[in-house]
Amino acid sequence: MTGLDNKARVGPREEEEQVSEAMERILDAVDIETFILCGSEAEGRKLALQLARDLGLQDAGIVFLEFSGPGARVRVRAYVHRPGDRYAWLKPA
Amino acid sequence: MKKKVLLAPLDPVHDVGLKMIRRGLRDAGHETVLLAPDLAAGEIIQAAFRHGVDIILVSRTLGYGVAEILAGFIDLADAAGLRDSVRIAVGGMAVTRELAAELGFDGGFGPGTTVEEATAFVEGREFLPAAERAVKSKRDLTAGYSYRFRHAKIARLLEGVVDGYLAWMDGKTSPGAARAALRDEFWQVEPWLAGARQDAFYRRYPEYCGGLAREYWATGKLHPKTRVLTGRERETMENQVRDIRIQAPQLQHARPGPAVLTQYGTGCPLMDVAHIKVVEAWGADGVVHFDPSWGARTEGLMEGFLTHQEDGTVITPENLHRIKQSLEPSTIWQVRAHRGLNTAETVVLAGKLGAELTKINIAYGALGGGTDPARLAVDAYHAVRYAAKYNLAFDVVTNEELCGVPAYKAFAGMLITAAIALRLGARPILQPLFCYSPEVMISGQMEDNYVNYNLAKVRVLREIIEAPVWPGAPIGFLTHTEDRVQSAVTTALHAMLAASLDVDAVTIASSDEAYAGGPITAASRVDTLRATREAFRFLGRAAIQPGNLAEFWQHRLLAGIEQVLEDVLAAGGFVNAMYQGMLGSREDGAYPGRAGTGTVRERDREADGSC
Amino acid sequence: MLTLGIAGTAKNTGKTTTATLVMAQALRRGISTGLTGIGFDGEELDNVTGLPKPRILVERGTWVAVAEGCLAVSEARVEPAVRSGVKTPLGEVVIGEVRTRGRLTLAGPNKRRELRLVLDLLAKTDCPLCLVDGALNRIVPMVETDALILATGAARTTDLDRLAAEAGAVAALFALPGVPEGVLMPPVIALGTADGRLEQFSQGSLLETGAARSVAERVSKATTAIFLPGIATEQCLAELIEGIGPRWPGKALVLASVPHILAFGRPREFGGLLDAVRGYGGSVAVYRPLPLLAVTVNPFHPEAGPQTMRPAYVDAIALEKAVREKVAVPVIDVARSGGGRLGEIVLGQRKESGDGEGIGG
Repeated sequence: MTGLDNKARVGPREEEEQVSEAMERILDAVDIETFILCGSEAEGRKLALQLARDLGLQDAGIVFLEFSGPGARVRVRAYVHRPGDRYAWLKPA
Repeated sequence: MKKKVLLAPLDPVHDVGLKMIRRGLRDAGHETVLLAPDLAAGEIIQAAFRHGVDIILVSRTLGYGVAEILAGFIDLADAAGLRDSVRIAVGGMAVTRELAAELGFDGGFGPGTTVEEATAFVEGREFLPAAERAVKSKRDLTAGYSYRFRHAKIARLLEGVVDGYLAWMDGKTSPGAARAALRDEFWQVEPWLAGARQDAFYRRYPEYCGGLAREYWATGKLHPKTRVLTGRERETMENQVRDIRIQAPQLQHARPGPAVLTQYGTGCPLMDVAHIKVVEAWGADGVVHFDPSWGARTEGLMEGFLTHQEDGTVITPENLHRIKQSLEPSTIWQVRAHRGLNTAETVVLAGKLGAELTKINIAYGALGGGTDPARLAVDAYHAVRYAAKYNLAFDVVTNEELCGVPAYKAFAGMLITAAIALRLGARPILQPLFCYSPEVMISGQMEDNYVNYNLAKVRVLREIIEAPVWPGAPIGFLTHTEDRVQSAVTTALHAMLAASLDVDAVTIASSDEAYAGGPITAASRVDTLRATREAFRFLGRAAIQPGNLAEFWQHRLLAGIEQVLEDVLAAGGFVNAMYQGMLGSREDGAYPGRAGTGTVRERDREADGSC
Repeated sequence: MLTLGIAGTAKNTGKTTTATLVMAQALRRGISTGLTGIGFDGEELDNVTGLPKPRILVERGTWVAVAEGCLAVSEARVEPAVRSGVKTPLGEVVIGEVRTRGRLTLAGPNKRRELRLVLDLLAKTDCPLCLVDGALNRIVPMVETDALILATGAARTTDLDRLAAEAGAVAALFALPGVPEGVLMPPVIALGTADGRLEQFSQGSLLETGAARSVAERVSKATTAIFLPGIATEQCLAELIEGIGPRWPGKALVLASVPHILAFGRPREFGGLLDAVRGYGGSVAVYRPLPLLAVTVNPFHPEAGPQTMRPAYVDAIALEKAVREKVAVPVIDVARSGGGRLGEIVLGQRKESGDGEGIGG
């Protein structure tokens, strides 16, 4: 029964730490998929990259963007780890 | 112990889930009573008493007020005294195991519950998905094939080509062949792992190297885009891999095949291992090691646990060994050797480190892979013999199609390599491309559909020889776009066609296949594995009906192959024919490679005692 | 030990507030409390863990009986002392003392027999009071408690007349008398006579009208009691009552407990049927009486907003007044009047428990 009282309890502080830990658990990249209302492909591209910046994502690029009618179907990708980096998820136990 | 089970829909909709479960329970020998829908809780409890059941399975498909209704039902069952003698479970869309249990049920089955799971509950067994499923076993893609030629004329032509090739080969060697011989004879895995010196290998090896590898052995200098991974990174990865438990799904449905392989080669063996674990967990049957493009043009291999900043993971004993250690026991492992100056040695290394498969094609490596035809013809001879020695089957890829070489010429080249392999006792696997190649873009074979021509390619090979077929690589090549949905769909559709043709394996791309802006992500690998699984589920044992043109293309391909083989013989044999363009010309887009030009030597019979 | 069940008529009727206030009152008087729950109120699952969220605040020194899985997600630190052997999907129910105060996820035994087992273990902790937190639509396990508080309110219905009528019907059921000492409930439906003979039937519950008719047919002049140890549907009960009809005088319908009736969720309808028994000159008793100590009312109810549910309230004074008119036991708006009155009722009752009222022990 000794293990029971040692279980982690989640308080406000731990929750914060978990948020930052989430990025560290990304294996390689974060993709954002959405539909952006815009008037042209160029505007769509601009807004898509702007979105990534607004979300604080570095190393972002557009994987796919298709403009038609009201706007653009877009997939933006920010690499968190490229091969050969020192991966945050690779932590000694 | 046979059970009596009451199946009761707790809402107005008759639940198809209960009917499926009833079938499963009956098959398992249990007695079932299926009630009409829309009965009051009291009536269900009465039926339980009347039939004297051991188990009640209720279903509640509607989500609205589900908790109240279920709790009310169990409360009544408790009051009626059923609770202590009868086990009660609930299934339905809005049901979770936790919810059901906390409402007082003994079991709860949400969406995706299998009949086996419900049966396990009825039988009072703990349901262990991993244990329930047959443990995935490693496939042998060549098992059961006789390699008998069905087309007598082509068999005869190939025999002539192989005779000529072997005569040409006699007495020839190369630095690649020499390194392979050293690796084969003087480099063993166990002493290497134990850190023993193996001087007989390391003293002589550098002299057969060139360029980067020679520099590495002389000064320790690495390729500029590589670095040595730290011991700590390695250890941590090994520990993490050890903790991963994979309960891989079976991608195939109804048909036994095809096996599904995915490529890896992110540049970093640690990232590769991470990706391999992902694809294994999503059902891949095998993985293919991709090395950097400069690996094929470098005379000699390096050592060390190396990461590379660009596509392709460097072939070193350390990298291969670590990756191999991380594989699930059922995962087929292929290390490509096919196209460069290290072809023969790579086969030896892959064999010693436990690969099941390699990849060799002389015509492609010489015409599309950048290696001098004569040099590759020499190295491939040794590679094939080592493949036979180390029991590695290998595919004969026809990637020269991607340069623009028409399929019939590429197939002639593939069949020559396959015939050489059979003569030398090896097990080749035919790898026609399922692709939207330059040839079809120009000539229009796929104007209407992607089915006819791909199908004709497989059928013509089967018309010629009874051998395993493994379309690649990856299937649907050049039909992918950067859109992940389109990409996954095209992969799945090509996989479906492959399944319909009962081929032995397919190599699939990720949904990042067409994206050139960065490395392939793990998520994109999941996309196509899921899509492929769905395609197999969709097709089952049904088959795709080709259009009328399929047969026409098949005849055309056969005639073309015959003609090319005749031309090869007329040109004075295989090696000459490669230089002269019979198996792919400059006009087609194929150029005899230059790497290793002038390195073929007449064998020094005193120094070389190898094969 | 007095075990006090707290049952709600719906989610958000103030069950947890009531339990918390009773515990606070006990603490103020230096009385240590035991606490367990018979499940949880659906929907309160944590999105991440899939486990119920902790919602009840427990003080240091409280003894709790909860599933092991609750401990990891609770703020309160509990030192487990005894394992109950009762297995739930959230783990085995363990009994332990709260070492650090905080919120607790309260999921314990959810079958009647398992609650009995756990309460017996909690009794060994020498807590004079033990609370059993109810669960959504679960009332039957409460049979194992000594007394009950009913939490109702606008979350059940905002129609105050209906709400009051229902509370009145429930309270009236709880007022049903017990059986004389020495009378035992047979395991199946039975007809008893004054000299103690029993005619037994095969079933424990009345769920088919045909069965109800045959029981009624067997009722004779000598019959003094009709024992019903299980449950009976409205139709069956009506069939039985009408089948006996004018022969009711001198006969008692003995029901297992009030929760057995409430399990159908139709207190007014069942109340009406029992009135019919009395109308024929018969009587009704329950084998296991369960005194209703108080009814708590809560004006809160969730209301659909433009995008999400939002809090709304009915007139609290009108609510309390309406319920009080229909209910004979004390009616308390715990949010408005605090826990003082509740404390008097519960803890006063405890002092009287030695006076032969049949409560406690």
